[in-house]
This record gives sequence, structure tokens and C-alpha cells, in this order.
Amino acid sequence: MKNYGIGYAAWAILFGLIISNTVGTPKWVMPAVQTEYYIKTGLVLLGAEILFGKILLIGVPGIFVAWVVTPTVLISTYIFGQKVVKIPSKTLNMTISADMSVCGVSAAIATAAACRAKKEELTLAVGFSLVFTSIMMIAMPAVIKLVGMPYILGGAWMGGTIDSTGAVAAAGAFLSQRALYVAATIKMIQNVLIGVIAFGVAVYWCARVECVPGQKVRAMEIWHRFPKFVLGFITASVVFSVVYEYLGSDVSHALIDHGAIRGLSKIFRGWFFCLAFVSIGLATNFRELKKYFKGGKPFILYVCGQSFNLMLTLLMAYIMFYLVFPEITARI
Amino acid sequence: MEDKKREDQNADVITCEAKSSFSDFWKLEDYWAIWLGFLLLIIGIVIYFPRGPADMQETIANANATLEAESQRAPFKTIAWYQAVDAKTGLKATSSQLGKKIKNFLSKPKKWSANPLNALFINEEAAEAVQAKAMVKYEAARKKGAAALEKAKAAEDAASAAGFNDETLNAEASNVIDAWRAAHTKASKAESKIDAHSYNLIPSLICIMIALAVFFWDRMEDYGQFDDKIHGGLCFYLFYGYSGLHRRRQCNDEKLRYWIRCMGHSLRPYYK
Repeated sequence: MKNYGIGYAAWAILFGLIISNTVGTPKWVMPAVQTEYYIKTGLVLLGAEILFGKILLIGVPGIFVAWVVTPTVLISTYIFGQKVVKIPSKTLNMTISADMSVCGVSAAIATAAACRAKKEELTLAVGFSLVFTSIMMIAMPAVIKLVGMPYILGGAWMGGTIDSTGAVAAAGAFLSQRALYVAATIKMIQNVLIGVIAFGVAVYWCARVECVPGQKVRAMEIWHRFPKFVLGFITASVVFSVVYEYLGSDVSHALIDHGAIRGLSKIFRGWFFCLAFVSIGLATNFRELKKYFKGGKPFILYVCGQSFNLMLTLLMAYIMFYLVFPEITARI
Repeated sequence: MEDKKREDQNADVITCEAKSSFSDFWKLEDYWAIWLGFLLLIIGIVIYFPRGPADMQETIANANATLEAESQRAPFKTIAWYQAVDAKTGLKATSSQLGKKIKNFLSKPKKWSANPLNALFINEEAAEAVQAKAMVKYEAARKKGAAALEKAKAAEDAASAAGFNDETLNAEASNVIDAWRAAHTKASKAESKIDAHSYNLIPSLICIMIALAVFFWDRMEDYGQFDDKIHGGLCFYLFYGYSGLHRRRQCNDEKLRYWIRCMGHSLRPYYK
């Protein structure tokens, strides 16, 4: 089974899904269903495993994939929603567009607050995100394997398109360690955009759509919404890279690689990811999500926007990782 | 009336004010993720940095000297060159006594082929059967590796005798050495499987589960659904699992049943 990519990540999600969709996730288990918390802690530990030079390597093409495609898809989907699909509510249109193009729930909340969307609009956007995340995190690695796509390209594709960070890690782990590195790094680069997008939407809303009297839009919003755990990931990588350099590669191999990392942090990172994957399964109930499949304009908007996102991200990832920076890809 | 209507509309609107405060350092999930991650990394450094192999510096110096000399002596990677690399890569702090104990204790469920229970538990008889099977494979792989090494030595000697100036002999030696490396890798993999022994991961997995619950306690406690009684049980289980770790080598079916029975009894007071 492992040879087919059905490793611990798949089993963890599967068992969670079985419990959630049969007997239902017990209430007393719900306090422990903390997908984002586990994945963030795991990603801080992952920082120590990836030398900072490699993060920078992935970051160069990754910034183009995350920071060019994301705003492009957001703006295009919003315009598409207004002009073609003719979504009656601008706030719903913006919340769905941001939720789909940036990174799911966190971006949806930040954007919904920036454009003062209604609570049911946020619920709808988050619901779509949960549905498509659960489909994409399983379908995308399967498609990548089926068509024989290079795992680095696949990792970049998934990192730029799957909404939730936890699901990106799970999908990356389905493929390989390198795919996980690329997918998680690109996702974190994209996560940084949450505050920027929320700030941009608030400025646009106040200037062009509707400005509530007394409402002030501050640039500090970018920092307030910044995903702070990314700083932990970068710090861990920088510190371990400096120590690695200081000790030399041979001693570092013995004490860091086959010591602090493989002897402790990597093992715990595996357990934390496993907890996150089980939590994804436990939190996904298809009966509850079924209502979002009923169709309607918001659903059409999400499907069209996500399809565009998938195509543009794949194209940009291919251009950046294989045409513009092939030498970087070879070194990852 | 108009004001009331606006108020109702506002109550329905998402207002999630973004602000930062000093208390974020201990209240925000993101910072907790950082602190917990850093804590584990620091613990890893404290445990493993003083536990490098005793002759590490000397081995590295000798291996590097060999690598330098061999790369100047021959135009291809010689047997001595590869052996020097093996000597360096064999240096692992995780090979220390404590490192092995930690890895064993934190082990995830093992691979299984016929019986899924073997992911968690295997008794002495079954482990001996696995070991015997692995030994047969290892012996065959070891013999192949030894034969490949002899061939590689002969080819390298022939190339060396020609002063490494004969391109045909050099290419032949390089190919034969590559074949030896492939056989050597297979033999090493087979060797890693002959150390099969009985194990019972259930106590350590329960301990890991509890340790993870304690580790992420701050978030779960927010829900206010955990009972204080559990605190008392945690220490007991950590001790229980640790003692189980020392007994794993002698575990059998009877002991597995004993473990399960004890756990069932001791968990009972914590059910509500």
C-alpha cells in the first residue's frame, strides 16, 4: 500500500473520515480536533529540517506562484462574479473569491471582516472551502501520480491551490518529502498574503463600495493578520542553518541530522502531522457539507474560480520551476 | 425604528477586529506553536549534542584525509573512498543508548503483511520466525556483497597497476565498484531487518497519546471539558509505559493480555 502513496497521512484521514461519517465525532473528542494548531507546530519543527538556503531556493519561484497568481485569481474571480455570474451580494462575491484564492478559513474571516460581509455569507464561503479542500487534497496527489507529473511541480501546484495549510501538508506527504517541503513552503508564502489581502479589500471597499462612517483602514492590519507561526518556521530554519554551518557538514550530520532532528523533532513532527490529518478527517462530515452541493450562483463562482486557480497556478509553477529557474529546481 | 433595523443588520455582519497585544505571546495559537516547536528543538539539542560518537572528530578527520588522498590518486571513486564516506555517515548521535531508547519509545506502528495486529505487537515466536527469514536473505545478500567487493578490489588493483592511465581499466573498475555499492546497499538493508525482536507498542503509544494531550493542553483546556482527575492518571501512565518499554523484549501473548486488562481497570475511574 505504501508503494502506492497510501501512507500514514491517507490512513489518518481515512480513519477520521470513517468515524466522522458513521458514528459521528464524539463531542468529548472535539476539543482535541485542532488541525491548524498541530500543523503549525509541525511546520515550526519542519523549519529546522529545511536549511534556510533551500527555503530561499524554493521561495524565489514560490513567490511568483503564490504572490502573482493569488491576487490575479482573486481579482479575476471577483470581476467574473460581478459581470458574468452576477452574484447579488458584492460581499459574498469577495468573501468567496478570497477564501478560494488565498487560504480558506483564515482568509475568508479576514476578508469578510474587511468588507463587512454577513455571517451566513462567511459560513457559505467556508463551507465551499471545506468541501473543495477535502476533494482536492485526495484528488490532486492522485492525478499527479496518474499523469506522472514531477513531484516538485505537483507540490508547488498543490501549495498554491489547496485552501487549508493542513490539507496541503497532507497532500504533499502523499507524494514525497520534497513535495511536502515545496508545497508547505509555498503555502506559507501564500499565508503571508492574508493580511495584505484583507488590507487591500478594506481600502477598496472604503474607497469604491461602501465606507462605514468612522471606519479607518490601517496598514498595521497587515501585521495583525500576519500568520506568526511562519516566523517560527523561518527562525528555526535560520538558527539550524547557522549551527549547521558553524559545526561543519560532517559533525552536523551526526549531531543535528541524525541527532536533534531524526532523533526527536522529526519524530514529533510526524506525530503532529498525523494528529492534524486525523483532525481533518474528524472535522469533515459529508452529510453536513452536502448542502453546499445544491448548486446556485455562489457554487458556480467557486467552481469557476477554483478551476481558473488550478490552471493558472499549474502554468505559473511550470514556468517558474522548469523554464525560468530550472537550475533552482534541480537543487531542491 | 430605522436605528433598530441598522443595529439588527450590524449584528449580522462579520466584525473581526484585527489587533495585536503583548498577551498574544502566550494567548495566540501561532505563538504557542512557535514556543512548543522551539521547546522540542531545544530538548533535541540538549539530548543529542553531548552524545556524539566518542571518536567522531578523529573518524571525520581520517575519512576526510582518505577522501582527499583517494580523489587525487584515482580518476574514479575508489573502494577506500566509499568506505571513508560510509565511516562518516555511520556517525550518528541517534546510535547512542538514549537515542535508541527515545526512538523505540516514540516509534509509530510497524509494518505488517499478514496480521494487522503485528503493527502493534509481535510475540517472541513470531519475532524469531521473522528474524530467521531475514537472516536467510541477509546471508545471501552478504555473500553477494562480499563477492562483489572481491571483484571490485581486483578491478581497482588492475587499474592501479596501470597507474590509472588505462581508460578501459578505469571504466571497468568504476562499473564494478558501482555494482559492489548496489550489492552493499542491499546487504545493509537486509542486515537492518535481522534485528527483529518481540515488541508491544501499546504502552508506549498510550504514553505518546497522553504526552501529546499534555503538550497541547492549553488549547484543549479552553473548551473547559477536561476533568482534573485526568492529571492524576497521566503520571501513572507515563510511568506505566516507561516500565513497559524495558519489558518489551520479553513480551508474549500472556503479557499483552495482562497489559490490556490492567489498562482497562486503571482507566475505569476516569470514565464519566
